[in-house]
Amino acid sequence: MSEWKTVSIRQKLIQEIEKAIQAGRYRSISEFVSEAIRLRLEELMRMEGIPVEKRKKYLAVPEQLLYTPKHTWAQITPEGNIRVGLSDYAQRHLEGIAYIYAESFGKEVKKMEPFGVAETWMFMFDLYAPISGKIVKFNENLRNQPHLINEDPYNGGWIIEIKPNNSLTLEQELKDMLSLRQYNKWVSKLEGRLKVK
Amino acid sequence: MEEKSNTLYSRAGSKMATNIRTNVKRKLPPCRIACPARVNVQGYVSLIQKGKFKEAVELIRRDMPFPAICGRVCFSPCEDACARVNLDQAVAIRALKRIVADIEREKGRVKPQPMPKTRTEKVAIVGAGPAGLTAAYELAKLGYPVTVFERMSEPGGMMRYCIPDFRLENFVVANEIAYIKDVGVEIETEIEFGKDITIESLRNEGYKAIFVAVGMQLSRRMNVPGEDLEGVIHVLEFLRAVSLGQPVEVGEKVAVIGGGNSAIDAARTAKGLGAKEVMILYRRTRNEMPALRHEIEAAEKEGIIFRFLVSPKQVISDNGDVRAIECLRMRLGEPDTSGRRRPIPISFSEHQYEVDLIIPAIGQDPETSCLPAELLDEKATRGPIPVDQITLETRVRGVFAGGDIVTGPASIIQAVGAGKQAAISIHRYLCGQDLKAGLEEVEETTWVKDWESLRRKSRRYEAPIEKPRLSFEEAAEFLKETKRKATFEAFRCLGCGPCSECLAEMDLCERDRAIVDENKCTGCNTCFIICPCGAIAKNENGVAQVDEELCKGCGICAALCPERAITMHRLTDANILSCALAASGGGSPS
Repeated sequence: MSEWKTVSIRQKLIQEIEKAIQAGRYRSISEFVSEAIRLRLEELMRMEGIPVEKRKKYLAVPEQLLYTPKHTWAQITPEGNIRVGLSDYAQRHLEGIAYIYAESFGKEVKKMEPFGVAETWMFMFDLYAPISGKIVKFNENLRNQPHLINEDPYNGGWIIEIKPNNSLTLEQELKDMLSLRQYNKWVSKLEGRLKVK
Repeated sequence: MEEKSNTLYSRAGSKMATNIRTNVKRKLPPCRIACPARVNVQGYVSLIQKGKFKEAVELIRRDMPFPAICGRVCFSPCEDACARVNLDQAVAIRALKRIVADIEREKGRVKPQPMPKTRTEKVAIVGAGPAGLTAAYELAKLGYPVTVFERMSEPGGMMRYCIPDFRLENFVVANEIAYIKDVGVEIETEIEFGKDITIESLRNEGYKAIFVAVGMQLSRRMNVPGEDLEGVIHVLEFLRAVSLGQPVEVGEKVAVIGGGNSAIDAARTAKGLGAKEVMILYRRTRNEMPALRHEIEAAEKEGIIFRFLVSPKQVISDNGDVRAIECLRMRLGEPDTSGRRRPIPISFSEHQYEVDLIIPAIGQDPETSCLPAELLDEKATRGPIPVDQITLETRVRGVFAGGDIVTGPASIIQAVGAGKQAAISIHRYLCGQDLKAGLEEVEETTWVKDWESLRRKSRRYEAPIEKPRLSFEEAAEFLKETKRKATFEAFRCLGCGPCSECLAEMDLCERDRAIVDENKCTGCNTCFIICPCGAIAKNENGVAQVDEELCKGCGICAALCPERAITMHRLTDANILSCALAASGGGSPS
């Protein structure tokens, strides 16, 4: 009896996931699964009271993010927006981060064009948009605590959310982005190039 | 080596006849004497020479709490006084200060150890501007519980609200104040002096000493007809409104009146807010403008128009809206008390400029309504509160005043100097000492006499005006390059002062002492004259004696003694001269 119940639940679940994929919330079943695992892990850790610094170690699942060569990552939120943040590599260069400027709401940004500036004590770094679209959200926590980017670049340190213009170009633009593996290769290439100099 | 010591000796000898000192004066380099806060310029520059950037910032913080702020907006009187001007150009001291302060913060926030509260007397400070915060910082370092009261919602005073963001970023001010808070100063905001607190109420709460540093909060009025129209916004109100994010409509054409830094700030801010044509009207010429040279150049680059030798006569309005400003032409007459040539109006030279907004930026006035009557003096010429110029004590015992409210509108570094002096006076007052006794006397010095022989010209480091916009990879390279340039620039310092007191070599400076061989000493006075610390006296036999407490162990006397009667505890004869030269900042002529 119990076996039957499980099967029916599983079938229901698969149907739900397929619906979600059709609605554009997830790109594949595997993405849904990894997101679910992440959420579950996060909840478990919160319940067990693991402190933030330690949680970061387990939690950073940058595998499911997409990257640009300009060190920004993109993630699809449940609302269908693209959340943009800075990668761990970029964060290491921003230890003295003092301020984050971003374009105002409703502003159109284009793929691989700057949408804002991260300011440290000595430098300004342009932040590049991974896709084209409209800015719909800004992480207000960064206004007073820009160091969130250092503490938690993949979760609490997100910067803006972009609403893509249309799904066709979005798909193409997402395909052009780098996976974690490709991105890591790119970073090691950059660092290697620096060492040669 | 022999030759060099001989020339130095002959220099000392020529002085000997005329300059036998009766009292001890500290010999300091000109840059340090020029600085109102007596920041140890030579010390941190010599630390930068050694690549010790972190220690350099710490050395600056011993004298004042705002290295990053002064590295950005200080008037740098030290550079004006720099002795290297005789050779080529002054050392870029302000740029160096900014570099060391920024590099420290580039690695994340700096947290000092909180100072233990060793004293029980509470001190209240009114006004969280540069003077008030410096006094609070110095008193907290002495162990006093200090509370600062501020009227606005955030501390920082003029630095926070009236210097625009492109010259001094808000996070810089916030970060420096966070440092002061970490040292142990309490800051209470949104408390107004005269309303929420008075001198009596503070006394009743148990504050033993009060420092009033409220600054000059009102813009000076032009006193021309039509000044109260809506299209006239005075400079401080304008900058404050922009800084607070309030909407300010600038229109298309803006006229700023005045030639100071705040006039330029207002003009550039108006340009940034979207004004198409911004002009600065000044009644003298460019040479008399008190604004910083590079600020004027930056404003010109942004397309701001300068009109010299014009003075406003009246504001012309159209149904209550500002339409134009009528001006008079001026010509320059005889120099006045400030040394600048006095402008004289040319009669019947009226002409008009069409404008939408007028920003008068001709000076600041105190807001006397909040101050208690017993402090004020109607007849005072500069500020409304008369104080003792040295101790900063007002006519009310236990109440001190300093900063802009006393001196009239001045610079940040002057306010810092006033804050330091107030801290010294308050400490003495609370200890029951005489406020004036034993104040340090200083004497300017430089070891270079023959500028012709120093043919070492080099180019000054020109700091970039704007922050570089780079990628992460380039930034690392740029940082390295900046460090290299800073070290190079620091080596341009001649090291005028005998010992910079940077205490870089703690062991060496702290423990080493000069020893005099009484049998060899001939009483020639060389060491007596040359000693930078005034540590050498003469006993009844005419033989030199070293005061163990004053001697810093620089080795200069040992290097110069003609009879080789002086030796050092730790230094060997071979090392003494090189140490003496190193102690003087590495500035040997060869």
